[in-house]
Amino acid sequence: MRLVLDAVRCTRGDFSLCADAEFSSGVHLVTGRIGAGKSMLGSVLAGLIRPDSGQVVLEDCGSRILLMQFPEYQVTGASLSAEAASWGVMGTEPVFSLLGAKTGSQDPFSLSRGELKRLMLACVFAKDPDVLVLDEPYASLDEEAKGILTELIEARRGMTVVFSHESEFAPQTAVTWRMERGGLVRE
Amino acid sequence: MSDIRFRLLSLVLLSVLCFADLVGAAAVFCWWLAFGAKTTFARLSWRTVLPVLVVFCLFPSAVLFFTGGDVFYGAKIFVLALLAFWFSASLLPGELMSLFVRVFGQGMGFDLGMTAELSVQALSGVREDLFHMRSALRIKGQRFSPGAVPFLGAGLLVLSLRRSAFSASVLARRGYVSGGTYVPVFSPGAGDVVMLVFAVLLYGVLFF
Amino acid sequence: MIEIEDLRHGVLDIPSLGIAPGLTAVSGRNGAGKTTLLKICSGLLLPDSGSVKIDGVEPRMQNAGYVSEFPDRHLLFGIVYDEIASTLRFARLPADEIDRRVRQTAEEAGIVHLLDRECRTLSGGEKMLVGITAAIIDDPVLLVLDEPDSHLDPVTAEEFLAFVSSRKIPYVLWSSHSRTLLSNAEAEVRL
Repeated sequence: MRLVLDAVRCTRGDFSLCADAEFSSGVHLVTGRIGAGKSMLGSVLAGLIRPDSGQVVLEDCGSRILLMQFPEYQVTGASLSAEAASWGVMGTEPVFSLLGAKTGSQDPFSLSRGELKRLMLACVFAKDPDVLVLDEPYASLDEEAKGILTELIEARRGMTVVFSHESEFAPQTAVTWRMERGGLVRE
Repeated sequence: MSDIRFRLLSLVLLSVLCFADLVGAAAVFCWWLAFGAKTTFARLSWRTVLPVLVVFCLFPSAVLFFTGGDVFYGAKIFVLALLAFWFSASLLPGELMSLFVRVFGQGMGFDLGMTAELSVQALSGVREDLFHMRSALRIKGQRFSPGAVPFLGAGLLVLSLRRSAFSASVLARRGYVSGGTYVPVFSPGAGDVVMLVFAVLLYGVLFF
Repeated sequence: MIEIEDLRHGVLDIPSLGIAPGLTAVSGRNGAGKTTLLKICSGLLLPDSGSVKIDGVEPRMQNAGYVSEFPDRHLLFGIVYDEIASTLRFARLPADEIDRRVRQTAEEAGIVHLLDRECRTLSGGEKMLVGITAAIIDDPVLLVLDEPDSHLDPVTAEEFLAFVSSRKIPYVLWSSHSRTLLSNAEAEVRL
């Protein structure tokens, strides 16, 4: 399984993203200061943004999923169970109880930010795509959930790309990358 | 550099001319091509403009054609809609506030101006929400189908209501009761004058 | 002192709590009611029952600033200057005094170059700084920050904390999940 960014370039307003990189299966951790272009790169990896030039080459990457930074942007179900169903999962998978994610008839927007994040994480881990891109997955999570998330990331098969500035809980075994002013460097 | 007062005056003059006479409407269309088209499409996509034009222009024209009314009514509405798109696309943040405060003062003008500014903000918020929802559907592998529209509409409404409630409580927290200090700022440019002069000159077509 | 008595609202149930002046962190697991407590203390939300007093005054009558957890959407106005000036404009201060104070506070926050920018074009960190500058412009007695660090990188979060500390605001309530940031607080309320 490989995902290659071949001279990828994306420009939005004053900001330009340039990336030449190869991601293999396993865990990748991308760090960088705010405004360095992490979210844009995440969207490129997940196929949501088409690069202005260059190409994204996929080898044996069947399904790709991006979990956005702000969980409320990704809600399309009217209830917690409908939200799980919109991802094509049951809501009864073990990861839901592991993350303490609630299901049922409650309105997703009545949850706190952290609870909504837990629900979205449970959905994408239950879906288990080949390529999972997580944009700031630790934001809004309490310590317990952060620990569980790291275990889930490390136990995953396939490719997991984590964009995060989390220093205390981030996966230790990951290939690390750093973003700086739109450029991507392997550390 | 642009001044909302010149644009508003042009808008009023052109709208009256457009409605008064079919040749006038044609002249206003030429004005829009010369001065308005670039601004309109710099901010709005044809995907937004076209459906609105179809619903508001083709539909009434078709109805009037079959009922024996004025078939050119649709053409006039078409040009008016283009003008409306141009004016809304040309708005810069803070301009409505300046305009209302200049006309109605720091009491009612401030309230009206702030309401207008917040409404424009809310509209762009809805556009962003819609964009995020479409991305979310793509990520989830679902199509943007007609069946999803009612739910997405309800979702957008709920999001907008939540944001309004939040804005209201923050405004109250910041001590807003009614009115406030605001110094209107306008920055007229040569383009504004040219636009207005042509809008006035177009009235010449009425005499031919 | 911030005095909380018999406070009940949703999941919150606080029989009695006193918060001394200084930087107080609010921690607790997801869904414990941190945001609810912060909204009640800043006067954005009225509790179902019980009372909160800040130096003997109800939150709604007290001068308090609030910065929400959602940096992407918490700014109300289109232009940074308008956002920061809003509190002073509502108070109907003279225009030249408003201008002087907006520029001075923006200078101290290091965002004077952003004043004419459209809020939607700012980065997440910049939005946070604009939000906090708007909240402190009128020298509040209480400043409430709901998880400001959850979308900031550690360096930006440190700068942010240093700026808040430099303002000498009597009470700062700050919710966070970060051990490092919690260790900077003078007191901690754990829900």
